[in-house]
Amino acid sequence: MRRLITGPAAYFASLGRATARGWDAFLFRPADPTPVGLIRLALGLLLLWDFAILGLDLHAFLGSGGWADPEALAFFRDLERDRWSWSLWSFVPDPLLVPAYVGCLVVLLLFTVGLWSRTTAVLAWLIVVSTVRRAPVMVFGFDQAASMVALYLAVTGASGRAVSLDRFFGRLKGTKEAVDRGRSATPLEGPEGDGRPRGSIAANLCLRLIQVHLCIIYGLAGLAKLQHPIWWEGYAFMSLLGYAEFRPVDLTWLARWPMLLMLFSHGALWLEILYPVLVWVGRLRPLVISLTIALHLGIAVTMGLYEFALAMIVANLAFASGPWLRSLVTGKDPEPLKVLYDGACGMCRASVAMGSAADPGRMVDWIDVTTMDVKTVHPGLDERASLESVHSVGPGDRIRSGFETVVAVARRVPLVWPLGLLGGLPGVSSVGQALYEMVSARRRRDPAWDKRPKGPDPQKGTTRPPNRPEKPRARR
Amino acid sequence: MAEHGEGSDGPRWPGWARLGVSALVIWHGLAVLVAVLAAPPSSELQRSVADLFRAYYRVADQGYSYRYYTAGAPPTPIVTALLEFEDGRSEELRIPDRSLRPRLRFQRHLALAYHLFEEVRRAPRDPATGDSRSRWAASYARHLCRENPGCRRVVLFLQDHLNPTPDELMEAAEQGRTIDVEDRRYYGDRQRIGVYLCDD
Repeated sequence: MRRLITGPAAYFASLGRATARGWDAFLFRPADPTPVGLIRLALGLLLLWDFAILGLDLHAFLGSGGWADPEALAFFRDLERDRWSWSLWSFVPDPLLVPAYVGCLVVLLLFTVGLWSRTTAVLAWLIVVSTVRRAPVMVFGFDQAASMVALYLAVTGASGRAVSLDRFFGRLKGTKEAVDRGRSATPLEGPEGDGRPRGSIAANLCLRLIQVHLCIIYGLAGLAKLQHPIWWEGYAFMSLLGYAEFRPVDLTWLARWPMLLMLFSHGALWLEILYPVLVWVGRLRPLVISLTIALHLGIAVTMGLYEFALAMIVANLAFASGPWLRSLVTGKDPEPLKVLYDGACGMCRASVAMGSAADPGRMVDWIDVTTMDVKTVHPGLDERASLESVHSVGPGDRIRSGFETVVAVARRVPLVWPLGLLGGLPGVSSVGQALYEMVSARRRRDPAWDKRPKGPDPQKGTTRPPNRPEKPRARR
Repeated sequence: MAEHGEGSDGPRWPGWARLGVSALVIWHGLAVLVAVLAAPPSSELQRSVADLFRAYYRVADQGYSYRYYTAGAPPTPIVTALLEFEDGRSEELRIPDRSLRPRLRFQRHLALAYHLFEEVRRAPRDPATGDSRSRWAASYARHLCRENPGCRRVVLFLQDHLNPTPDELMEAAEQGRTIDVEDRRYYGDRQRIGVYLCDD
């Protein structure tokens, strides 16, 4: 009899403890912030695009004489006894609409590049919600998805911890100090010198909130579809092909294969219903996310809802792994490009500090020529030439110099990818080389640099990374 | 996929912080879930619980039902505005205007038509004229009056743009022909929303 009471009590006590442990592990352990940074960057680009287009009809959507005028807005707020809706646009008089709009663009730009991210993420969310509330008649799925993601980026304050200028400038401080100390061949062991951002509980919270929100959206949207025979009959996807006002291209010829379209319909339905369950199974997650992305691309193609599709794909990045995302940039086991620079040149040190701060994962090994024998890096290198212009070695035995090295570095550092992409073009490389030579000829060398003490940096206490060349010999 | 537990940005959060954040997360998660569940068809219970979060939905811009295309592809509402000018000429505007570029701009105008359609369906009608008393329609008309100097009055219409049935699509695909979705048979009857004088 006693066990009838103590048994269930013990069960519920153990259930409570297990739930608390699980909850704690789910929400309050650090996660790689790379996906959060990427989500911020992608959402920022989408919002910039959205606002650029909004600017074409600025007064029509946000002005007092627009489609949704203040009189109608006030009527509906009264009707719904809504005292809580808010919009910063309601404080902006028509003559100030353009300056306020430009201000929003600036904020969104800062948010996108991740500068002052904590503040700009909150401001970006304020802009999104204000705009939705000011002109509710223009709202569609894209705004809802954007508002959801923006809210989580704003409240967790984690959006600037990776893929951001905030992180770049944070690292730059450390790398600058390390390069300026530069007494050893390991000058760049900054606080996060390997390029991997530190795990953060705030980033985990942000990812978890987006993940759970997505599960609610997909799961319940899938269940709601079960009310309608068109999904049971398998004609839902086919009906989208004939959606006259939406379809950007005529894909009705696909109706030649009705069974295939029925498979798409049933597949989409069950993917949505099962998403909240299967996405948590590690092995199935890549498959579920890939199918979901395919579903959204299908929506984009058949209905022309490009921005909505992209916003949902961006939200799904919350399920992507940070190391995997970074490996898309760095490769799986990258061979670092060895770059030899003149440590006695202040401008060179500043460039190296910036390059190192933007390095996503030891893609470049920076070597101060003045601290070592260049022959230890590669027998084909010449010390005099290496002091005259920057040289690089890798991959393999390939030696580059001057602007060619700058381009090779730019190809490995995402922040300057445009230079890496364009720098190899015939005309650009010639102009780039001429510019490089001009700047290089005018650079100033610090005569005291060569007199500095040699040997390991006592402030560092770090060991040389395995990919570094041998310890330099004091030879000059 | 998502990577957890690598390194830390500092000490574990204190208990009170974890408790506070947990409470907020539960509150928010419940609010989001209940909003979706309360979308029709729903129970009195689901709607009552969602009502508790009404203020939160307004403040945080949450509370959406997210039921995208649950009924497949229903007819698309098209708004037509007939503008009559003081000099006797008239002009007809279609919302959404197909010439709008880029696509996002067109989508925004499509949303205008959808919102008006939803409200006209709910709004009462004038017993004498049969016209809708939709407030959004009046707002749209005021906007069109302001945007078109010399406009005397605006007459708004609503019309369904129908989609070909699956049978029609399959038959056409089988025969290798395309369906002209702009054919008159794919447009429903024009329904007058109302007449709006610009000097009102």
